[in-house]
Amino acid sequence: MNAPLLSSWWYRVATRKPKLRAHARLHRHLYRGEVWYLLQDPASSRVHRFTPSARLVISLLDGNHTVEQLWELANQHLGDEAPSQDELIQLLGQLHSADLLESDVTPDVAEAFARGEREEKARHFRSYGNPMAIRIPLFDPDRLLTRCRGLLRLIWSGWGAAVWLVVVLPAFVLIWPHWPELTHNFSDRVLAIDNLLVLYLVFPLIKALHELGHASATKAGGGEVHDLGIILLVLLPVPYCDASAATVFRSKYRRALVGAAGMGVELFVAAIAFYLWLLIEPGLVRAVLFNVMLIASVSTLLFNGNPLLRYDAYYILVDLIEMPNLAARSARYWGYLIERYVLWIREVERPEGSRAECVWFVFYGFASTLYRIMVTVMIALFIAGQFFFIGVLLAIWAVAAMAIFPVVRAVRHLLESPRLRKHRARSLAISGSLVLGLVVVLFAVPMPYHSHAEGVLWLPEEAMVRASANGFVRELLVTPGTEVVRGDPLIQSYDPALLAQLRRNEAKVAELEAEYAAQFVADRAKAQVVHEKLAVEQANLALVRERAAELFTRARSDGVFIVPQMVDMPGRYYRRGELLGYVVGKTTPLARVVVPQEAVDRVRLTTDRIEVRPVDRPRLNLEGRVLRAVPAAGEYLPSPALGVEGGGDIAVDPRDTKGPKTLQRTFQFDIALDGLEAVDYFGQHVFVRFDHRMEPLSVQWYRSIRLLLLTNFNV
Amino acid sequence: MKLDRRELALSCPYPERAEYEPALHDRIAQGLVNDLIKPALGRFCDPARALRAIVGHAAQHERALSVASDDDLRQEANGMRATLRRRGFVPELVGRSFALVREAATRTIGQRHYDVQLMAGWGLLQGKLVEMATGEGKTIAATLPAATVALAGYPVHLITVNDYLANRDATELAPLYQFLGLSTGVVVQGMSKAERRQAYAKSVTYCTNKELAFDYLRDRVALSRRGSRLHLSLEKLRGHQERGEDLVLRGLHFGIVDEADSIFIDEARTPLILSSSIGAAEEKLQCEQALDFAAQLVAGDHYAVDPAERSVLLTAEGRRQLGHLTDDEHGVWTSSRAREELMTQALTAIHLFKRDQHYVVVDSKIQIVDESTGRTMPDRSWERGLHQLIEVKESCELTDRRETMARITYQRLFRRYIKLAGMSGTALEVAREIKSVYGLDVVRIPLNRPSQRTVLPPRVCASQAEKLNVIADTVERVAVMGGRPVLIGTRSVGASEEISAVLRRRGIEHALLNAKQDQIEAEVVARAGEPARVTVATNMAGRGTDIGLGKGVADCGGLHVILTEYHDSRRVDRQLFGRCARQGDPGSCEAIVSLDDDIFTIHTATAAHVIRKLVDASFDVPVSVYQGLRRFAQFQAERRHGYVRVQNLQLDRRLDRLLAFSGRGE
Repeated sequence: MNAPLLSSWWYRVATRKPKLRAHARLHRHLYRGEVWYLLQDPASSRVHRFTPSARLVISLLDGNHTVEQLWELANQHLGDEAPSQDELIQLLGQLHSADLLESDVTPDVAEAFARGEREEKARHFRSYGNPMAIRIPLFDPDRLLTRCRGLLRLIWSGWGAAVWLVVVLPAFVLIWPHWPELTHNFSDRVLAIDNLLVLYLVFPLIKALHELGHASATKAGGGEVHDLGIILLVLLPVPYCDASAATVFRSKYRRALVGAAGMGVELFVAAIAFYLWLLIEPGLVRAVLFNVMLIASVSTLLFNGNPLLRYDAYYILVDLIEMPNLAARSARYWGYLIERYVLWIREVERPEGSRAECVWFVFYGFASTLYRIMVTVMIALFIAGQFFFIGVLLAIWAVAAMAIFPVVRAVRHLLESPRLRKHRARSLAISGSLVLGLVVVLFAVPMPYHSHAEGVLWLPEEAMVRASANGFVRELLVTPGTEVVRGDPLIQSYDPALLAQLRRNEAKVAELEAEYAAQFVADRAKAQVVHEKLAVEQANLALVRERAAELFTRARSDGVFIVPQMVDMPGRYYRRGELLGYVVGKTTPLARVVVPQEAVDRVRLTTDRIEVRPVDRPRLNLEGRVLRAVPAAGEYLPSPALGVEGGGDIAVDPRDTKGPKTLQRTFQFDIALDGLEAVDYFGQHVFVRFDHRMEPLSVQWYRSIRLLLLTNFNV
Repeated sequence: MKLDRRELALSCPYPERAEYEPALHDRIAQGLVNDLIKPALGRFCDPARALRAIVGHAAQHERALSVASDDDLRQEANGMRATLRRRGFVPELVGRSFALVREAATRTIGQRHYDVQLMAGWGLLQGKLVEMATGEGKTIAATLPAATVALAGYPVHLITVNDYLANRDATELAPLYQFLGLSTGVVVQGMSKAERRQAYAKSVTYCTNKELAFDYLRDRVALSRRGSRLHLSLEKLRGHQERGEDLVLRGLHFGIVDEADSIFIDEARTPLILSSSIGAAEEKLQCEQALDFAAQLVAGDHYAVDPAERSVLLTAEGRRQLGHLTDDEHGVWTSSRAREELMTQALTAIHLFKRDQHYVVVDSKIQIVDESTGRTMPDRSWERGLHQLIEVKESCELTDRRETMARITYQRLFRRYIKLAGMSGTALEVAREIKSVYGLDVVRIPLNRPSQRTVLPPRVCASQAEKLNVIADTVERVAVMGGRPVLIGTRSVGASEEISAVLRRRGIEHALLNAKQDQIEAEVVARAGEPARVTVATNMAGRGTDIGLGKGVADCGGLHVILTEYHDSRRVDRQLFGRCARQGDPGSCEAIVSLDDDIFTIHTATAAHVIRKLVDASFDVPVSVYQGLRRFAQFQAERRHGYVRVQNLQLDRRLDRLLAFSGRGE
């Protein structure tokens, strides 16, 4: 779109003779081979970036040329590059609002005051607008820094770098042997209450050193630092300093050095703390040193060292790849991409940028947004876990900042942006249908819904060889490992009491038979009595014989006979029902699955399909069906393999000695497996997925959020 | 008039209200009040009812005043001055003053104010926009607050849309003001500075919006820098009198704007620009070349015309082609930016500005036609060389290129009145915008007598030719056979000429009125109520002129109004309909439009196309569909215009900030 060359407002400026204020400094920079000019205002420590054609105009702002002359000169020198009148007015207005312009007329005082007020408000908003980061300026460190300028130059020179390397590199080497010592029981040590206090006290000190690093590096490079203060970052005081003067440094490495200075100082401090930590006996000082190390290395590398957040690494990155304003420009580029390819507006102007730059924009915009959202959500959740009320407020704020404000902005853009004016209907239709699609997907389209559980592969009852009677094992009738068929006797036991009783009963029967025979001829009536006694004893004998027969434990199914503790068995006493071994073979195994309380309702009521995967054959996907469900919750796991210590997911109470007792009650299900012929190893882990009735995502999410709130916060 | 000192503008030579941009929370609160609370309250109690109290106050003094002699009345008026000034416009005093004016009007111009007019006057005095149906006597009603405020010693401006009305009202009402000891002045086009100064020095000044705005701008330019009262007083002390003498106005105290909707809304789209001529020698050649090159470009391939947005866009191909065409040229053609701009303007001149619709050629001069009023605006010219291009296109003499000296929008100008009031026949549609921009509440004043207007269902034709025939048939039936007068309203001069041609062919005698005959139009319109008289006029011709019914006309049904093309805004349609059945007279109106009218083809092209297909397939389209189409088209058009106005306002504010380095603006 070509903007008109002439402005209808030209008459107001044409005869003015503006002059650039004397204190403004112009710096020439090269960014990716292009010339840019930075106009620095030392008074407000703001820096403005201009193109060479704007620079030509700026250089002519000497109070002798009228604006009309400026424009003519610009046209003569720049040809097609010359700014239009509107652009020129824009430039002058921009300089004026940055307080960099003097004019030959009485300025509009009311406007100046109104602007001052607006800026004040904006500053207040920046300071206090974000409750997660409240900014409080403290003092102007410039004079202090100027006094020790010589020293600072020395520190931030090659000598300083050498000293830094000498101190930090050995620490890197030495840290590996001490790694286990340092990381042992890490989270418990760090989050213990007394340690948190130490952390809270040490953190601001270290960060103050960090900021002094920035400030001194800026000073060493010839810049001025006028603002130093603290930010209450999530109620934790964190110092900050304004090192924007470094933006005008000619060398990009020098600029990057200012950005890296903070981290450099911290790593230096961490290295020294590490050496001391090695030397000192355990105690309070050592604990403090540990924390110093922790903050000065881990936290700084995590936060400041991540270019996706707008901390130090971002500025280092921006300086090194010579793309100032990367974040804002990638946002604009994303806006362009959306308008061009989603809303399908042909005539949107593509933001300037080479191909390589565009790749940066696309990548950076995406990654940083995603990362920022993640970090915010995590911080909010973490705080919510500690202080529920504040956490929820912060979470709401975070959600507003991350989701609602952008959405409101997007809607306003759609409704009001002049760029979309001609295509507003279509833009609205496209974005409306996208939103509608999303809503439909979220609220109406049923989506697969699963719960996951773990279990163990379990043998069916008939595959277990259980002692059929109390008794001592005498011998194994079948060599373990051989095939048996159903009904084969496997193990013979003996029970001396039973044998004695058998023998007694036999004797008794023999005795009564003899007596009966004797009486039969003598006394018929007496013989009748004896006969009845004999019948009783015979019945008793049959019973005891039966019990004796049970001393032979038989196979209840076909397969291979397996005995886990063959050597100890002979001579050992087993109670009836105790497990002796297994007959593994033709029986299909089942899975015994432990389902936590929160999922049991879904599993019971809405399960459509069950999929089981044994851990040794992850590609095998078995269909299952519920065979038995234990209606009451149990305290013990069927196998220790399901507990955390056995490699499972369920937390187990270590104090209980009787077995794997869970901290929360669980429900057990036996699931029959189809398509699994024979299994070699029992008791192994299986992963089970219960497919529930399909439900829209919103319902699923609502349920999990509800559950999360209920379990964490009791609301 | 009670006003906080802080509300007065600084650094102005005379009193006017300071510009004030409410903060965000104020805007939200205002929006809530305007959009939620006011409509809700309005449902329960009519805001007009509150105005009725003044009728009682006035009635108290009625009897005493009616028996008083003229001299006593004059004495009374004199006595009111100090009291009004001291006590301000409290209801009791205003009631007395209104009663006085009413009595004076009865004695001088023979018209006694109706009660509804008293209510309207009270509304005006409170700074509201009073909606009164056409023919209810807005002009007379305005005398009440005007005289009252003037008695208190504040200059009063009565602002109308054209010179004729300003002149007529001033002359008609002068005896009334004179009776009360007040002087009247009138400012019209072509007056000298001294005359203007004199006119504005009178107690009550009748003027047009344009004259007022330009006088205001000229004042600002005359003083240019250092124009505050402090500066002027200091200069006076030093013995330099002249600069103060340059001023024409005395301040923006109380302004009553007649036809407020058309001034506040319709005319607010274009800023008023005060310019001076600068010579330009090579201009003509340049324009000729531009039109020549433009003729060589092909529509569609090289450029695209968007009639809805009224813009032309050069395509990439067009730019290349233009580069080829101007390869050997010098001067402005060497800069790609400048030549593309000039070419866009040339294409705009050719394709978007049509003779007799957007401008007329009078005495080989281009005169811009105001689309909403259909009037020519001789003082205006288009910006950025467009005017010259059109002059070359029509082979007129080239006027000098004009250089802007000052510009202002009506939005800004009228908001500077310390007290502003407005009158209109149709304002409710734009009440929200008027409230948010000018801060005026709209109050609808009840009718003096119930309306007897019959609105016939609209007739929608498939083509222009059919429409013309239907119109002619209707005229024949109503006027020739029925003996009733008929007024046919058109949107453009061209359209009225087409209709006139059809009528002539049928041998129907009629009067044709359009922007070309500004001087006599009022008389023609005034006669439009005579039996069997047929008048063809652009929508707005003779606005403000009452159409009195001729003898016997009321008995056969009164005036019949035919609307031939929907206007972009429903208000203007209503205004045309309002010309019949005034003040309880009988009358009827109907719309005879065509599906290929501009409003349909530009704003609802697809829908109109579909309906035309249905009609072609002899499908019986119900009237409600047409009504819906009309509503949608007007909604679209209004939205577009509203957008431009909002943009203007925002641009104004933004530029003010941006241009702060150049000192204070207008």
